[in-house]
Amino acid sequence: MFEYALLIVAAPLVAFLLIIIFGRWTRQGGAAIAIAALGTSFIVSVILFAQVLGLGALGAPVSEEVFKYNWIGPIEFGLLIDNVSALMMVLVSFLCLIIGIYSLGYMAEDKSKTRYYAEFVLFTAGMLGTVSANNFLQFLIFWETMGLCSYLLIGFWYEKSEAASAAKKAFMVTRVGDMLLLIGIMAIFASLGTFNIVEIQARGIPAGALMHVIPLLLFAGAVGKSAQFPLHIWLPDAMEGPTTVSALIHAATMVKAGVFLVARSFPLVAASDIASITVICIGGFTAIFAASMALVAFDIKRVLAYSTISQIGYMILGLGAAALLFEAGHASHGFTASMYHLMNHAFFKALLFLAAGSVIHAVGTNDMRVMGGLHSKMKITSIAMLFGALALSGIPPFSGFWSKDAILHEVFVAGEMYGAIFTFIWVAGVITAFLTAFYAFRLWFMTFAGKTRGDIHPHESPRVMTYPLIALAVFALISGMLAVVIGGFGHLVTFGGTVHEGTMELLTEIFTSPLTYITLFAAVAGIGLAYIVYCKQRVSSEIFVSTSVGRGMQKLLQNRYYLDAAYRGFALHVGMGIARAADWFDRNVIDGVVNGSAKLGLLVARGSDAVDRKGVDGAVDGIAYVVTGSSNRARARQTGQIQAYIAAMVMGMFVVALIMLIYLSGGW
Amino acid sequence: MEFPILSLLLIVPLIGTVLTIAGGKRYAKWVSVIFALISLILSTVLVLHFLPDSFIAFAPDSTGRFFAFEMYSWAPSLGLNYIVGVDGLSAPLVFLTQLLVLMGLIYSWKKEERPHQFFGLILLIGLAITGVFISLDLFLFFIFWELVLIPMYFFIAIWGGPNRHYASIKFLVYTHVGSVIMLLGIFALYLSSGDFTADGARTFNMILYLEAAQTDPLFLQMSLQIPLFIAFLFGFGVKMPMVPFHTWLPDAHVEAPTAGSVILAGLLLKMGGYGIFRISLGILPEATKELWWLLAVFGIVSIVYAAFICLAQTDLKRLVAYSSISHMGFVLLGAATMTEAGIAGGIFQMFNHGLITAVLFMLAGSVKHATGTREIPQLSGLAKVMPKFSLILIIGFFASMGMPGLNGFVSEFLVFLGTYKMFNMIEMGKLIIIPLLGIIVTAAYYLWTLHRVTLGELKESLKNVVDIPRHEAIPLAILTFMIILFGLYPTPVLGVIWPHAQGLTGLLGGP
Repeated sequence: MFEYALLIVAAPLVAFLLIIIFGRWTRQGGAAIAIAALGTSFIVSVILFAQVLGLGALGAPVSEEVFKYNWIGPIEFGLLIDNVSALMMVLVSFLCLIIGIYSLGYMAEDKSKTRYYAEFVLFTAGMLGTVSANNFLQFLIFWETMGLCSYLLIGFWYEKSEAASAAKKAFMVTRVGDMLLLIGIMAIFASLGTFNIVEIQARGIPAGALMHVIPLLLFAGAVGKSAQFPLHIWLPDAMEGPTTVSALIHAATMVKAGVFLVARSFPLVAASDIASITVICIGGFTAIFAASMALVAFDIKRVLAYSTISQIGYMILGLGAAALLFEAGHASHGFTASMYHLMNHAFFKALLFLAAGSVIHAVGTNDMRVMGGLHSKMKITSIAMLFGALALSGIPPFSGFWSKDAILHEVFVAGEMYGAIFTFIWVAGVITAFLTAFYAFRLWFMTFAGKTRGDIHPHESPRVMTYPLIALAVFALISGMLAVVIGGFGHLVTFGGTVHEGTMELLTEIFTSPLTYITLFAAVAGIGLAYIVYCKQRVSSEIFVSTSVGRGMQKLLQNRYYLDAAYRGFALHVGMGIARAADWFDRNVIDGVVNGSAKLGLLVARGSDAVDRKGVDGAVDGIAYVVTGSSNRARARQTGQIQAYIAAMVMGMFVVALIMLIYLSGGW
Repeated sequence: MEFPILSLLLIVPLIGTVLTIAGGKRYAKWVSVIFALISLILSTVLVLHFLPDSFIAFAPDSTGRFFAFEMYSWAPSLGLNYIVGVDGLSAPLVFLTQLLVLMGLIYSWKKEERPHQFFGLILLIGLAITGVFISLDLFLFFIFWELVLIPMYFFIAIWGGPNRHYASIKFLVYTHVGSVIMLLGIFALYLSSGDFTADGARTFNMILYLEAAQTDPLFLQMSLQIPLFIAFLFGFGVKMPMVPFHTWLPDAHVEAPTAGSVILAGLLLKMGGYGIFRISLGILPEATKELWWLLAVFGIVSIVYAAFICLAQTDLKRLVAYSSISHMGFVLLGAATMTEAGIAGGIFQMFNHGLITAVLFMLAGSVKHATGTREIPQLSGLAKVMPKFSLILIIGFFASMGMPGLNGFVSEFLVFLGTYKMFNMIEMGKLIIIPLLGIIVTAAYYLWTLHRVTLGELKESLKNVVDIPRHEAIPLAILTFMIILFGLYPTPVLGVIWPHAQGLTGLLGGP
């Protein structure tokens, strides 16, 4: 019944072809085609989502595979439609549409618009294909398509060396995760004989070592794509691309695909305690680790990039906590909470990036140190970004609050059951909430409050850019509350049964829990500190670096814990070292043996040549004279070897023929 | 009488060669292209036969394995016959041969140095390679196998680069040594063939061997199978080439003219792979079951070792040459798995590699024509002045590194799948990590090269460079189209290959 869902993925793919072929002749380089396709995807997604939700009771989890097509051998392609994929498709197509419209203004003066929109829609198609794939091979194909598009889009301004490097880095780092994912998928196929996600979810991995290894391998793919520790290093550099591309990568596609992968393989993760605990630890650690690096960044987009890594860490953390609880046989809302946060984050992160883009568009730099006082010049951008910062910080009623709170709640529950380590992770989560609020408002105050510090002449962006901001700002405000109004996000997306709660019960539950106030307090404290330091400037920001420990921390954070340098060193010295050694070995040892044996052959040939000349009579001598004469002349040059080589060869053939004849006459 | 399509595939290029050389410089390119086109059409018809519900049908031989079968007696007392026929293994390769010959001719359209001989020799090489793929008589097979060397030798020696004499001789002698060892294998087979033929007479007829292996895998005792397997492996391994018998290849490629490289990497290397599947697996199944690990080790070492060497190369053409070694390693690995997916993937990898490597060698030639150098450090930011070149380079590189949606992915994935299944079976699953490491290194060297050649700032000295001319763009566009087509829709080729892979797997007793 959902056959028309194919249109959602097909529309951007067709647009991709159309833009390549006709884009250059249209006025905006194919922008109209792109927007039309994204609009189509969005409308169809909404219809699909409504229909999925409308089946039976509100939010009954359905899953149906549509449009099957035999690809190679036993592999059947198709779409898997359920609550998660329907939600993701609405979200992705909506955000891509908004970002596409915003691009009309942001990319207006770029010369390569056709290339931009072509890659843009392909990227969208990649994400839509990933979330709707019914088997892991198809999943991987679209997943890698996104990898390709991220490479092309991050390196969009390829003349800039930094952009080219960032693109390369993004592709290489995610490739490491992709490779592990590939092994995982093949391991699944080897043990279950299928790629089909529904079948895999239903059957599970048989007990044994693979039961733990497979979810870990799949998770490794998510770690690469979602920029989680230790494969997070590509995302902060990825801002070298156009800001719209950053918004795409951070909010709608790419990094969200990793979270989606964990959600899709959730039953496999939940079957293994080792995998669940790994997921929790990576998520929790990444959340606080990335937030710490955001504290010292001066590049407005870099702050947002670290914030994405940190927020994705929350989602991974929530999924891990839910998986662990499921593994122990408890019910958990963690799955729902993570998907909830994914949606909210998508809205406010798109908003933050597009607002940052608007600022960059206006002032022509990413450096917050030269900004300041922009509020009076660009009110819409400023307020939109304020909404985004509030949502990111988790201040009610903005969206981030609801979902972040829900995730931390799940972690706390896990902590109550499993003891100290999860309580510790929960504390880290609360500290992260403090850090998040601090850097979010550090960003906002440095950009919009106070006086302008640099020589810049800002102006508000055109309407085609501010309207999308307004739309997203509205969502940043209400997307969290909407779910509360319908009685919890669990009505839309759950794992393992529906959740039936009323709005009031939910609100009471949230606002009577002391946990809520602890995180809320942390967030408010963060904003307060940022206010004192960066707005009122009662305390100079120098205070953080007044002690040697502070300075050491700052240096450590600014150098990103030296991880980038370590990876670079590894690639340059170990990788290239092996390469150079192999090259030397190839040229000197292997080829040395070849040339050596050739020389030996030559020597033997010359020896036999000499014997031959002495042994023959005068008549043959004359002919021999000609041969040796020419070969003497040629001997100085390398070409002279040819006679000897051919002599050796003919001799070889002669010996072979001789052996053959002997055997032929005498039998084997 | 059956339409002798395979004999025509030999006769047409032969006439073409003679007419091209005799016709002189003026008509050379047109004459050669017309004859190559006829061959391509013939081979297309041939491949169509293998598709399901095809309207074209060729008669099978008596065993039902080979189609378009022809057999004429040549020297009956010695068991020598002229036998040709194709099956799922050879048909795609025959098609690939005609395709790359035609593309090589068009690419070389502006050749000014002795064009008639140049074009004539290309046709002659194509003929010889086709002969290798369609011969079903071991002696005929060997004649064609050796015939390939001679025009190729002249090709490098006459139209090659500055170090051409060294490279051409090295190519000739090295691969010839491999052939001689293989010849010993062929004669050993021949001499022992009296034991299993119906009338006790010795024969070179390959079908009889394949049939004998089918009915009794031990039709040759193991004490004979093992040395035979090693002799053939050496002969094929040099040709493929597998590490450590590969050093002739980079030198030959660097010196060869572009069309020569296209045929060398696109087709010549496939002769080795073809031999592995046809003879090593098909005729010596028991030895393969015993020595599969040898294939796997050579395959894995080739994949990883050559990939690392690529990372250290500065000459674009040398880089592509080493990447060929790395990618041919997948063919060996696929054969070693003895599974349906692995063998089908290995055979398909030969076809895909032929397309991809042809594109990459053409691009290496184009960049040399346009900028005067192939040295990667001397190039930079070419995307700005050579957008067409850069686009095709990106597609070619990504196809070669196994990007889904492009053809290389399908075959490499199948090989990995087969490998995984096999290693899992014998509890060595961890080993698969090693060739996969090769994939990461592959991505690294391609991305790094792409970065240095096409991205970044355009060098002052390259400001006036012009994009690829039309005669180079046409073959590149056609091949790139096929790379994408078979990446999205591999069925037309894979469907031809798969039954053959099934047959081989059955023979090898795999799952």
